[in-house]
Amino acid sequence: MKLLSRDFTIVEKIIILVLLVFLLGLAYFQFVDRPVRNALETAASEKAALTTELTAVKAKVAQLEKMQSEIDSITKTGAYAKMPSYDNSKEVYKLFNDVLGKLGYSINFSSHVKSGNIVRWNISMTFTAPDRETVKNVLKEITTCNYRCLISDLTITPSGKGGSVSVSTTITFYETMVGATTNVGLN
Amino acid sequence: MALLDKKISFKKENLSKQTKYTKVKLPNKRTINFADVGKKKINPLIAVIGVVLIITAAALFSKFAVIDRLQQVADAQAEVAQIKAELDTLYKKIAGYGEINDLYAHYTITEMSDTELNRADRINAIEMLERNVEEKASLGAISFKENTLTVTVTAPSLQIINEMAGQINLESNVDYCTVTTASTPGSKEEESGTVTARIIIHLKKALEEGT
Repeated sequence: MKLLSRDFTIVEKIIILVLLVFLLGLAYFQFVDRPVRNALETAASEKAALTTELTAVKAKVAQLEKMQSEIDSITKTGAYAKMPSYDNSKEVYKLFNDVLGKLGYSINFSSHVKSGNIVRWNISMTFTAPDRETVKNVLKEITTCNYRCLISDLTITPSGKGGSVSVSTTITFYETMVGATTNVGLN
Repeated sequence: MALLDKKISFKKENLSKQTKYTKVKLPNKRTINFADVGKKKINPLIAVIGVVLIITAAALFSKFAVIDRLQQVADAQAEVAQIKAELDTLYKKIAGYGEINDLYAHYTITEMSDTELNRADRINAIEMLERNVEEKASLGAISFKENTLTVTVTAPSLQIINEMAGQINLESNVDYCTVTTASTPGSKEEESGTVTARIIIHLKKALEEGT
């Protein structure tokens, strides 16, 4: 190496070598090490955020599958009808009117009672029917209507007039607060 | 300077002294590269070893300090891309979440109590009674209280009531049944030989029906 009119001395050569190594190190740090570290840090933080998001989404998917499975099971067996949104009283009044219209009846509508998202509405009633077949038909029409309900207490007593019977029963109708437009009348 | 100061004499005795010349071998190199003057020659073996060492060091440095680190970045970015792809798939899966959630709220049974969920079907129970009782006896009052069904039956004999109770016990929606009271009516009816019995039937829970 001879840039000048003379050779570099050994000290100069060492200094140039050290400088070269320093420059190479600087270039490596600037163009490789720092970008790599930045990219790794970015990827790591992005991964952490995405993993958290993934966990939440997975939980949501699991919940969705559970809900779908429960809905499928309920609709398949037909054991429980749909719970309408509160307040479905109007439709229930119409139902009772259609079903019990021609029979002598007395109905006591309790207040709606809310518990969580569910609203229970107990309806006690007595009616007379010409025979037990009619009673079964009445009860079937009520329990297989589009609104979820369950018969709790039920007493059928022969009234002694040509097979006619007196019926006393309590039926609970279920409604949900999801999709409800009002909460008036709730206990 | 001393040589210059020396006196030269051309005397006879001095001239008679003849210098004797001997034949010497002269170097036959006729050219010279002045650029190489003063240059130290490098041993080629050391040069080759040095070059190999430098290339090896550069290769190792490139491999471990550059290529591997860039690969590390590529791997990390690939991992992130994979999670993103998985997320995209899952997001597509839950696209209808709101709709399902709303539907679920209308169908769920999670907020119903155990008593409600276990309540036996009343109409099935009445039909079961009719199947087992009406052929041989007449059905009186029927009363449901939770999963307990109390029924009054009038039959020609206690034996028939016992047979009916046995048949009822075999029904899929019945847990067990017992005849709690049996009585004959007053003196006139006594002649007809009818027995009125009260049977208590414990119905199976709704989910156990049919087992």
